[in-house]
Amino acid sequence: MPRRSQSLELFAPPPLVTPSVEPLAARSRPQLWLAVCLPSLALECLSIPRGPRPAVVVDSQQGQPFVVAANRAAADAGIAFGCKLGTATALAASLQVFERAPRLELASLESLARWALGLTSLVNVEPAEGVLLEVAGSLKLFGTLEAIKAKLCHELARRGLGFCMCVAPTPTAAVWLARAASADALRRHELAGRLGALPLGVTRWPPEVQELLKCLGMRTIGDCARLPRDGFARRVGSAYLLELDRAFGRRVELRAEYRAPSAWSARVELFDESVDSALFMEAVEQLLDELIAELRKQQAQIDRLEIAFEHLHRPPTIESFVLLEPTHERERLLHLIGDRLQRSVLPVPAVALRVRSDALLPLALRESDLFEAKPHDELVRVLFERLRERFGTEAVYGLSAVAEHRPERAWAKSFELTARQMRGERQLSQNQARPLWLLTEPIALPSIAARRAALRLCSGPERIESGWWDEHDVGRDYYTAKNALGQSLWVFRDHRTRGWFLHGFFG
Amino acid sequence: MEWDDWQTRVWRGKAAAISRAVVPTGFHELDRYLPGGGWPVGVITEIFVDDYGVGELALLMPALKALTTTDPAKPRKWIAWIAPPFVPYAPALQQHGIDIERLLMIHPTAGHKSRLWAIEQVVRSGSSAGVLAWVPAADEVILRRLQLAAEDQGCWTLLFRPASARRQRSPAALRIYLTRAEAVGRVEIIKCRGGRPGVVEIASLGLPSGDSSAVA
Repeated sequence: MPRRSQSLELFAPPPLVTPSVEPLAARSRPQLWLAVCLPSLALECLSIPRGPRPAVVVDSQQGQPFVVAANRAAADAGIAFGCKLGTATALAASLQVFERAPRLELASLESLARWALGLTSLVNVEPAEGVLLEVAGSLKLFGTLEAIKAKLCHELARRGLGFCMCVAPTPTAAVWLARAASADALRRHELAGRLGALPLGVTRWPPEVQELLKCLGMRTIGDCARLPRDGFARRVGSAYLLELDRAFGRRVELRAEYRAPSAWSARVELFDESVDSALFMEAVEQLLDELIAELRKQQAQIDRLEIAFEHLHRPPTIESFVLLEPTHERERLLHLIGDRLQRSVLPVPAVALRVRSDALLPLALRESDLFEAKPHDELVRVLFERLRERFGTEAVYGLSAVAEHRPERAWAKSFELTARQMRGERQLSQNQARPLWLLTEPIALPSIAARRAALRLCSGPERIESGWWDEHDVGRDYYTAKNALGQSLWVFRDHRTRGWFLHGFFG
Repeated sequence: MEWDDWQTRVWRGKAAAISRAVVPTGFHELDRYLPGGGWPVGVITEIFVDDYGVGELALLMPALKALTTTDPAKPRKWIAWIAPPFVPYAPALQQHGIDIERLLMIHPTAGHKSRLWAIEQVVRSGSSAGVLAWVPAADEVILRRLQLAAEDQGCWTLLFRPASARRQRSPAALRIYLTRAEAVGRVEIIKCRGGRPGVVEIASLGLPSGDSSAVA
């Protein structure tokens, strides 16, 4: 006997710690969660046309395929959630069977969550279930809870989704109440009574756990809640005890906030393949409106955009736009895209357009004069972008002076047109005259004899020897010269080649 | 009738009120000659030159200095140079007192249509104080449109054109032909709205100071 107890001790499970109820810290504002459950999401996200034919969506991932969602005709025939596929086909003769698409479901939930960000800032997506909104903070803006619910109902009806909605102080309780399609529980002290009456099925705990609880005689959540805590934890599992605590509000529950993705993309198909740029502009305007709405909601702006023209049997043609400064303005983007579309010609007709923006940057607001019609900076920016768009980024630049002895390097192009820094300039003394026009490459003058006839040297020489530290070593004597045509030239004589060159004009 | 009535009723030809804005040229001989006392703003000024280096930029330096060194709080403070034939040399511009941060160089693609498009865009934007453009060929229609745009936005527009084009008709309000002999710049005013054609001579236009001894 002692040996057996010893062996039992060797393999004994670790000692169980029953989670205790932690006293809730006083919160600044009590939360109110609105749960939207979409029971037939699997069916609705597939966009099956409504009709008298029964249709089911099956999930064949874990073992035998079973029915996840059924439309009205199928439900009338007696097919319910959890039915095996064979049973379903036997019950309804002309059954349409669709495979479940979790990605489409998630995409549709995320799209709803993105819309719901317009109602509240804390939205949580429950995969394959629905969406949770924290609405206590939005009550002041919208007035009453009914207003928020009405907006939500309207949007869900517009999207063609069947739903059940419920409000509760904790998210888990809201979800359970919504699954049971019961009324709102607005106050915490109501929770115990309301949750207690719900059947155990709404928790969607695994079948073996629900079976165990049924064997113990538990039918409702209230029954489970009345059980002793350590016994429940030991027999069923401490995770479920924690879930019950969270539902009743005894434990803090945090839900992951849904954040809209930082890239945006939308696609529109044209009725017929075409090369007409007017048609493209219309399609682009439509997509841009969506983009601008999204940017406004997220308080973001973009600085690059891509338009892909999709063709049949060919890889898509992509037009990229890079903006000087991030923007969220519709006119600027439209002008930019319009200019490019007018000038570009597609090789093959396009069947669809996709507009994509990679990075959504946070909006940086600029202060502007209240009484100015349109800020001056904005006009300048729009103009620069149009010019760069048409002629290339290298073709539009500003000037800056560089502290350098070599004349061809004493200036530089400046592409930072909005924030310009001086790169240091040497103060030229008054007798160091510089020409207003400089040639990019010095031109060799004809032979000395011809030079003497045509040019008359006026002043000089000014010796410039510099650049021994890099390969562009110069040793030159600069003179100013005049010729018979009235031109004033800046010529130099190179030390190494002993040749005469023209480097600039005194314009 | 009273003398005051006479004054208001009689139109006096030369002293007709020129309400157009002007930029002082900085050369008092030219200022005295031009109506308003400077370069007219809001119309096109055409400058014809045979070759570069005869002082065409030096003629504009005082005006450019005045325009670029205005109060930074005012909008419209930059000057666009469209298709300059050579590099405008920054140290030399600074020597003449111009703030080079206010200059913008634009090199349109080859083809005079894109050049004229660029000029029109800059003028129409209403955000630049002045435009200097080098235009080899332009027809009357386009020039008229540019002039209307310049008048609309109040932009100081200068077009440099080859001297061979000075015989063509043009709607520009001021057309001058510039040559230089020795140190004296000769400004021949071919057409001047509100004034008479004539010749103005400017002593020592744009030559650097220095001794004029010939070097062997």
